[in-house]
Amino acid sequence: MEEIEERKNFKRDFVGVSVAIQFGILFIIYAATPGYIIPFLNNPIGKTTAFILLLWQAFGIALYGYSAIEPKSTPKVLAM
Amino acid sequence: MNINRSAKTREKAIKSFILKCTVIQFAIAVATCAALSNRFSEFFCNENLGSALLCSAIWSVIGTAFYPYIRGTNRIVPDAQKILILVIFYAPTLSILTFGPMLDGKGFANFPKISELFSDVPQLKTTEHMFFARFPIAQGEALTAKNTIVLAVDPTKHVGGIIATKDNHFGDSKNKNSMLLRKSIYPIEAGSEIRDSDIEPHYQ
Repeated sequence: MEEIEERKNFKRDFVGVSVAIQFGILFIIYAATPGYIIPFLNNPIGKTTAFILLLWQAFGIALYGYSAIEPKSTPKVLAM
Repeated sequence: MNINRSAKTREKAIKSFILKCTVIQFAIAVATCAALSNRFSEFFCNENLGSALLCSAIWSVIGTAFYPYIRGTNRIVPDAQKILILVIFYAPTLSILTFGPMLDGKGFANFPKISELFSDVPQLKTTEHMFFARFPIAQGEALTAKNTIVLAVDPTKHVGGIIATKDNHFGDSKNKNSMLLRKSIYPIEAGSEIRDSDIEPHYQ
């Protein structure tokens, strides 16, 4: 039971940290060079790609982070 | 045991609801694109609507990722939790996806473009400062600060007018480009722009 709880917490933390890093990097890029990221997001192809990837990411987070798919092996961090 | 079991089933229900919301979001995006392909591309390329959609999608991802961290959710009834999740994290994206392509975008003509708010590219001016005759200027009369005036106008409506700069502005008569060193070749009516062809010596 504790192992399952730890596994769930690991998934939740992994997803949370990766999303935080992703948007943190995006924010830093915007703060440092807005003239770089804004034209990319204004471009129709860039905007469409970013939108599709965001939806896909939300789907993946809901699927993985919320334990819909169980991993086959225990994560190595927890095995230590 | 019973309390734990009910808490787990509640948790499971919320999580499966979130998964359904993300799937529906994805499906609506694909369906809207397929059904209204021309309007969808116009809507997506619209500065304000496209950027709003992107921001709401980012908000959905953040909500999906960080919802498990929100403490105190056990105090709210699961049905109310579902409504809150839908309204707070998924409603903006779903409503923009559903109703956005139906808007023709004309209503946003007067909105400041989001790219203008965040871009560091200098914006084009819509007016220029030009020289006009304050009073009627006779043939051969010298241009002075009394008989001329500088006004901010639309340059497309006053083609041929001389644009006021630091070089040719009244204050610096020692500068060879200064308007104070010019005189009119032809009579100039009061209120009309001063053209290079009306004065001598000409510019360039």
